[in-house]
Amino acid sequence: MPERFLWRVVLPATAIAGGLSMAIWRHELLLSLVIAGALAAGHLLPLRTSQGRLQPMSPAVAAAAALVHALGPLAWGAALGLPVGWALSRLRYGERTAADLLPGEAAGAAVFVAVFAGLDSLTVHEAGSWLDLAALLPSGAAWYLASAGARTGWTESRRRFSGSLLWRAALREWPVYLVLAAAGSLFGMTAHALGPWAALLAGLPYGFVHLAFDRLANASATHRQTIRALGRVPEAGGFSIPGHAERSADVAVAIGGELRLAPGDIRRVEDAALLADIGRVVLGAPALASGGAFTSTDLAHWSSAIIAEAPTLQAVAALVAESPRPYRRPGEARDASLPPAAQVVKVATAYDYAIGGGLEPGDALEVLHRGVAYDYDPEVLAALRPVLQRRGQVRA
Amino acid sequence: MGAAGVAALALLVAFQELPRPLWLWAVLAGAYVGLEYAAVEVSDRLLISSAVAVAFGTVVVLGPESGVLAVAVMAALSLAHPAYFARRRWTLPVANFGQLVVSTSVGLGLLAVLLPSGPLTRGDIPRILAAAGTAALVFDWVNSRLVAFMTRRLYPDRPPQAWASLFSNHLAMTVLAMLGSLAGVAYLLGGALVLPLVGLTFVAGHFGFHSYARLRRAHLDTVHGFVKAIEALDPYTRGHTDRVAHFVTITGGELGLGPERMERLHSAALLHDAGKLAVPAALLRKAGPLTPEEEAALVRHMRVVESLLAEIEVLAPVVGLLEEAHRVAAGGPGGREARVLAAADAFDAMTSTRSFQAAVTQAQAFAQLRARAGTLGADVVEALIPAVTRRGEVYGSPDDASSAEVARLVKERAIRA
Repeated sequence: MPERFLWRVVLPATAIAGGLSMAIWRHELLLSLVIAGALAAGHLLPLRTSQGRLQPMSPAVAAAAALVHALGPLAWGAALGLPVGWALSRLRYGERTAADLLPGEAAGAAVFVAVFAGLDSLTVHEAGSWLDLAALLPSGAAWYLASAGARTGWTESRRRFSGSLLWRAALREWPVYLVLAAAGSLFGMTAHALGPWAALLAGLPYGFVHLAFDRLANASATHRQTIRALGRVPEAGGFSIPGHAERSADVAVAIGGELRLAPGDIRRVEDAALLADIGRVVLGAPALASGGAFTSTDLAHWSSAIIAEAPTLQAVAALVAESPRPYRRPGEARDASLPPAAQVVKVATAYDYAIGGGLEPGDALEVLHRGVAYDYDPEVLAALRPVLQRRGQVRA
Repeated sequence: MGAAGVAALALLVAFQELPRPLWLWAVLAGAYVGLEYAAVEVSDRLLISSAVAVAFGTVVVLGPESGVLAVAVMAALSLAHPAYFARRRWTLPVANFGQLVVSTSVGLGLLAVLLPSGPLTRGDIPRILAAAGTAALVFDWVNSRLVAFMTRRLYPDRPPQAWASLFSNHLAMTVLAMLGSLAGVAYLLGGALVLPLVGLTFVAGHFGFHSYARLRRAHLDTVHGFVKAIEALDPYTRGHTDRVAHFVTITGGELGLGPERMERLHSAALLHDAGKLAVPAALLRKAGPLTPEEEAALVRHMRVVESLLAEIEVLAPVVGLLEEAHRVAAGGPGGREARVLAAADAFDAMTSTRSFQAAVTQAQAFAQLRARAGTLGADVVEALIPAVTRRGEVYGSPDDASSAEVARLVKERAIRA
C-alpha cells in the first residue's frame, strides 16, 4: 500500500506543485536548483532521532531559505529536491526507510511554505529581521505537526500498532526539528553579513549536535539490543520457547498503545515482557519451565530479583514482580493498586505461551477470556483483540 | 600556582579596560560558567567544555582592549563551584584558579594581539580564524603544561600524559575556539539574534551528549547487574567477576595498555562468565569434576550466550576477546589482552574455593601461574604478580595447612555426593 500511495498521490502532487512554482518563479532558477540540491543532499546527512528514525535536513534548508526570503525557490526546489532525496535515500537506506520519509517531508514543506508566506505577508520588513525569526516559530511548528501526522497515517508500522501510539511517538521527536530549525536560522540570519562564512557558522554547531544525536541514537540502540539479548538467554538455555520474549514484547507494546499508556510505561512494558522469563535461568531445567512445582509468582519473583540488580531497571523489576497478581480476588472489587502495565505484561506473555502451546490466535484469545473472572483484566484483554485484528490474525 | 594566577589577574587589571557593556559581559559570563560546569563526554577519552568557544567569542565581541580581562574574571568565577565550599579543601581550587587564569591570559592575550585593529569586516574573517586557531593551540599547550606541573606536585604517583597523545582534545579545542570567534564576528556584523541561535544549538548538543553519557552508564550498569545475578547462581563464585575485573585493570596498568584497550578488557572481564546464565544450575553447583559430556554441555551453553552477546554491536569485539581468552585458557595461542584476561581468571580460580576444589595460597598460585607462563605469556604473568604484591593485597588460603584442610573437606563432600 505505501509504495502505491507514493506513486499515485505523493509524487504527482509534488510534480504539480513543482510545475506551478517553476512557472511563477522561473527567474530564480539558479537559487531554486541550489535549494533543491541542498534538500536532496540533506537526505544523505540525516539526523537520527532518539527512536532511531532518520530525519533529513530539510527543515534546516527550509528555515534558511525562508529567512533570506527565497520562499518561491523553496517551493519548487522542494518539489524537485524531495523526490530526488527520496531516490537517494532509497539507494542508501533501502526502500522501506525511504518510503517512510517522503510523505512527512512533502507535507511538512508544503505546510511550512503556506504558513510562512501567510505570516510574512502581514508586515513589510527586510530579510533576516526578528519578524522573520518570529514567523519561523509557527511555521516550523506547522512543519513538525504536519510531518508527524503524515508519517502516522502513512508508515508501514500502522499495520501492527495503533495510530495513537504512532502519533505520540512521532510527537516525541520535537528536539530534532528544533535543532534543524535553529541551524538553518543561523545560516539565514547571518548569510547577508557573513556571506559563505555563514555556512561554517551554522555547520560547526550543527556538526556538534549531529555527533551528539548520533551517539545518543547508537547508545539507545545498544541498550535495546542488550535487553533483547538478555531476554533471549532463557531460550538459549532451552528453558523457554524460542522467540517468546520478542513476540511477547511486540504484543505488549501494541496492547499498551491501544490502552493509550504513557510512552514511559510502554517502554517499561516492553522491557518487562522481554525480561519476564529471565528467572527461568534460576530453575536451570526445562522441565520446571512449564509449571510443575513452581508457580508463576515464584518465577516472577526470581525474574524480578535478577532484573533489580540493574539500577536503571528498578521500575521494570517492580512491574515483573506485580505481573502475576490477579486483577481482583474472589469476593473483592478490582485491585486498584495494580498498575494496568503489569496486566499488559501478564496478558501478552500468557497469549504467547498459549500460541506456543499450539493454539490458533482465536483459540488463545478464548482461553484467556476464560480467565477474566480473576486472572486477566477484561479491559486489557479487550485491547488484545484489535491488535490481532490489525495483524489479520483474528476476524474483525 | 595561586600566586601566579593573582599576579596575572593584577597585570590584566593594570593594562586592560573594564568590559563594556557590562550586561553583555554578564550574559557571556553566565554562558561560560554554565558550560564549564556542563562539560560533556564526547567519547571514552574525550571530555570537552564548550566554554572555550564563549571565551574566544568574548574577546572578539568586547575587543582586545578589555576582552582578556573579561575572560580571566569569568575563568576565576567558574571555579566558585559549590562542591569546593562543601568540602572545604582549597588546595585543588587554588591551583586550578592559577592554572586557568594564567593559561587564559597567555592564550587569549595572543588572540588580542593577533586580531585586526579597527572595526571588523567580512574580509577579516580568515585572519580572525587563523588567529583563533593559533591562540587555541598556545592556550591548550600552556594549560596542559600547568596541569602536568600540578599533577606532579599533588599526585606524584600518577603518570603524566604526553601533550601529543591528546590529539582529539587539541582538535576539539581549536574548532571550538574558531567557532566562538566566528560567532563573535557574526554578532558584531549580523546582530544580537545570532548568539541565542548558536546557544540553542549548543544546548541541544550538550543535552544530546549528556543523555548519551547517562545511557552509556545505564547500559554498563545493566550488564554489570546481570553479571551479579549470574554469580548468585553459584555461591562459590560470588565476587569472582569483580575480582577478575580488578586483576585485569591492575595488570593492564602494569603493562601500560591504552585507555581503549583497558575499557575493552574491563568489559570482557565483567562478561567473561555471562555464558553461565544459560547453564543448568545443577551443572554449575555440581560437587566434583564434570564428566566429558557435562563439560561439553557447559561449553555449548556458554557459547550460545556469547553468540547472543556478539549480536550487540558494541560488545562484538569484547566477545571476540572472550573467545580468544577461552582458547588461551585451554592452552592455545592468543593476543596479550586475551592472555591478561585468562591469567586474571586463572589466578582468581586458584585463590578461591569452588564446589570442586580448595583455594591455594597466594605463593602457590603465583608458582602455578609461572608454570603456565608458556601459554599465558611471561610478560603477563610477571606483570600480574608485582601488580598484586606491590599493593599489599593477599588472596587465597592464608597458609598451607588451611589450604590442605579445605581440600580434604571438599574431597570428602565430593565422595559423599
